[in-house]
Amino acid sequence: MSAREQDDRRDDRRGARDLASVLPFAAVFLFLPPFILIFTAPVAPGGIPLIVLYIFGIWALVIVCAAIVAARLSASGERDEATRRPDEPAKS
Amino acid sequence: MLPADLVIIACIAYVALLFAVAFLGDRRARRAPGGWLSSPLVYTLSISIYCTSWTFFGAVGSAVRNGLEFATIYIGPTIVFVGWWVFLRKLVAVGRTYHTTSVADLISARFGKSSALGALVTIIAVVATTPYIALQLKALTASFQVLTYPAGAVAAASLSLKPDFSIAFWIAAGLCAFSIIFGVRNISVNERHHGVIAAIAVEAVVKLVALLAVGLWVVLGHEGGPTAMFQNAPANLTNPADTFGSRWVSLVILAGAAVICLPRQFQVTVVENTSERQLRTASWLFPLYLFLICLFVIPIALAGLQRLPEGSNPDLFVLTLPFSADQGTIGLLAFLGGFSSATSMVIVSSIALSTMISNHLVMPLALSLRLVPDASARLMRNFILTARRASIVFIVFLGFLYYRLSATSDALAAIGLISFCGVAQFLPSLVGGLYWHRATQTGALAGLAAGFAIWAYSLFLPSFEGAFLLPASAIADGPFGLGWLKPHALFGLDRFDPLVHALFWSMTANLTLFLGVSILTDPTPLARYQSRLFIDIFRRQTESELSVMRRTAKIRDLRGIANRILGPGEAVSLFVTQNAHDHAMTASDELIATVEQKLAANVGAATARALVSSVVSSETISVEELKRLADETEQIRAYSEELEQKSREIEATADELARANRQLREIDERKDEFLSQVSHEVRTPMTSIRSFSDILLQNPEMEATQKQRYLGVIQEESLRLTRLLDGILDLNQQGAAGTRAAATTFDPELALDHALASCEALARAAGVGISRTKPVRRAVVDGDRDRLAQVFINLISNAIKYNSARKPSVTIATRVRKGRYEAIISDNGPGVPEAERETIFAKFARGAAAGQTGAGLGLAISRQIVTGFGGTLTVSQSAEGGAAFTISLPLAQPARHASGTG
Repeated sequence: MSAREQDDRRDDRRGARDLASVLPFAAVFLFLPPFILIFTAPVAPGGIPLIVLYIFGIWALVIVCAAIVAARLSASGERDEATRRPDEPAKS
Repeated sequence: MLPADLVIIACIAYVALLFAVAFLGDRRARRAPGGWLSSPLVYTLSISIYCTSWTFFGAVGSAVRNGLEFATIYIGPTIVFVGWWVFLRKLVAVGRTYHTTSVADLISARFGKSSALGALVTIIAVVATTPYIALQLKALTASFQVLTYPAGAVAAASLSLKPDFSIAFWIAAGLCAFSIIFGVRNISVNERHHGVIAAIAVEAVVKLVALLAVGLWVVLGHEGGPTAMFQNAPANLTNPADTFGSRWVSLVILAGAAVICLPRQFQVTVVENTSERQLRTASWLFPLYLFLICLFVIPIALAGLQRLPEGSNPDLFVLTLPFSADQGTIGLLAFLGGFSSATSMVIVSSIALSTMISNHLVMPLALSLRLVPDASARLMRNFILTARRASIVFIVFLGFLYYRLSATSDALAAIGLISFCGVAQFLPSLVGGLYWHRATQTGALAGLAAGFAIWAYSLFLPSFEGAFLLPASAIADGPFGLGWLKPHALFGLDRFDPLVHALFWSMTANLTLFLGVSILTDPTPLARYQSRLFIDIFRRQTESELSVMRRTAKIRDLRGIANRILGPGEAVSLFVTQNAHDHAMTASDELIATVEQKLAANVGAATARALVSSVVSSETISVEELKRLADETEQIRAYSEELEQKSREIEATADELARANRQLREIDERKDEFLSQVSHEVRTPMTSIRSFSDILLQNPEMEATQKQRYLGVIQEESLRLTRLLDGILDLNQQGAAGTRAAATTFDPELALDHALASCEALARAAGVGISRTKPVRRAVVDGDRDRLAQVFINLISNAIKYNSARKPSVTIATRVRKGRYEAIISDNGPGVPEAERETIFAKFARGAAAGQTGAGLGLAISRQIVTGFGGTLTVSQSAEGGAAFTISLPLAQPARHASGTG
């Protein structure tokens, strides 16, 4: 593996970790007032109240992001894990 | 209605299925440990034990009563799981590494294996879980009663049926039996509860399928689309602004805390975890499960409100809706879904709590009262197992008692939230313990005790509505008429609902005391040691760290304990390296630590420590050493960062060097190539000059015309040679002088004029017509005018010389575009094939077509000159099919522009 590929992988892993750390805070921001209050307007696009669409939409989005993060972490972390003995804590 | 017999048979058949799954799971796990039973999918499904009958029945009820509020119970865990990297990962790693048996074990182990802390956490957990178990019994009983009510389920749901406690009792008894049979077979958590987990995973699928089936049936059977469905929606759904207040925030926090702290969640998430891979998958799969569970809650709630008679119990909509449309099969499926969600919760909760009770209450008590039968290993293990079995019965019985006492209490969700708030008290100690070195066991004890007391006073006891301990008058007006002590409005804070109020006061007291007392007290040496192990879980332990604790014990004594708790089989493997006659000798620190860790996996850290301490004759933990190590760790951390930085720099330098080396090699190769080409080019005319002069010298009497012809050839060849050498010289000058060439600012059109004048004679001789577009005005470029003229001459003469068209013509167009001056010299000759468009600019390259004479250096030189000016020279196909050479030069800076044209 070339130095550049290694760098890329390291960057990739670091990026996935950063994303993993930011995700819960983004979710907190989106699900809690005051931000969520924006979507409480009594309108119903397609017959469904906006707030219902918002909550379930954001929920789905957060899950998709988490799945992407998990996939990227696993793609870059599999090798590290494989070389580790069982029951030994991961080294960060 | 359904006949009671049928329902009972369905239940028994279902339980039999669970037994089979649990049995097969256990057997499979023994045969092939690490098979699909420890796959991330099964792990995730076991975590979804979070969705109990509160979810299955109560979510719809909650949606009817409070609108979107039901979602908070699932949004909180979603946030915790998608944020696993921040907290859960560390918690699970600690639990996995130190073989934690329960949440009480983890907290007590972190704070110096304190048995007091373990006991307190256990008591809180048992008390807080009681309402939760009661909730399951209530839901099970109610659904059973409704299902078998003679006048039909729909009628039953709109009456308020008196709970039938005999049904509840038999359900409780059945649950005890299952939990005991599969949950308490062995005492070690190293051998995890594979059978139970397999059964729980099946139940997770059943409840999801059941709820989705009811949901799909409702949505697909509904006429009129979403508009009609939401038409009669309660106001809190259509106008939800009021939903998102303090209660919303509190519930999200509570649910997030509960998914970590609830004993059963801790059991399935931390204790049963075997690898980080499992958690990584669960981080999105578990939120997805919650999402799917919630997806149809609102449609079911709305359909129930529309189709069922007014006054129907919304907590039973999931069940009564199918029956109202005579869908007995879906109804029975819904009943089984609720049944499975309730049973799985009770089973795992009672297993988790029984482990806690036996490890943190029974064992320490029995040890200190010398009640433990230490005569034989079998007796000892039987004692522990009996303690656990009795605990299961005790826990389920407590739940039953709570249900009896508070039977009048209304909604399922309200009961569940009491439990959530109780177990949330663990959160400060848990989070603080994993991130804060200064947290002490006294602080944790104080915080937990205060939080628990306030929770019990302001939320738990009032939930009995006067039936237990706190009389109804005290709940309404405060004890002894003291208004500021009213359980739901402590210190006159009456603006919030009871749950938010209790959460606020209990958490405030808990946090304040935890932080304050921790700051004021010092941790014990063992707590200090443990904090290092837990907080730095992702760092490798160093040798010196493990030797901080020095203990002496006889191997014989140690082996005695191991025999009793672990059984002879495992004990032998532990002591296999020790010779039999060594047994009177002292054990190494390492051996003592290993034995203690193995014991901890069975009976919890605190009890294990108590057991080991009973045979340890001396123990020292050097606080000085610990502090020194902490400093050292800091230094090592800084040092390693520095090293990493250095190595990155070195890596970069090495890369740079490698690149330079590559470049040098390339240049060297090009030079060799150039030299061999030059020799070859020089050699050809030299050979012909030599051979023709040889002929002339050897044949003096040759005919004059012949002589003349040969001399002509010689002259021509030497001219070619001169041209060649001139070219090479030129090229080298360019290469050497390159950028140093005197740069002035000039009008490129003047250079073009000059070039055209030079080529006029050549063009006329070849009969080529040259046309030129209107010159651009006021364009100036940087460079050398004569050099540019040379390039023009070269290109124009090429266009004239190599034009084989019948009516040859050359067109010269100039323009200014995007800050660049462009000159295009095109002809209608044969053109340059696409493949050769780059190679013709190489040195000594000549077109492939016939009649191409010359040194092959002109284009190379031209390109070098243009590149020297910062421009480009390219070739493409002209409109007439010939070649079109484009010179593109950057325009000079405006400042110099003025002086240049002036």
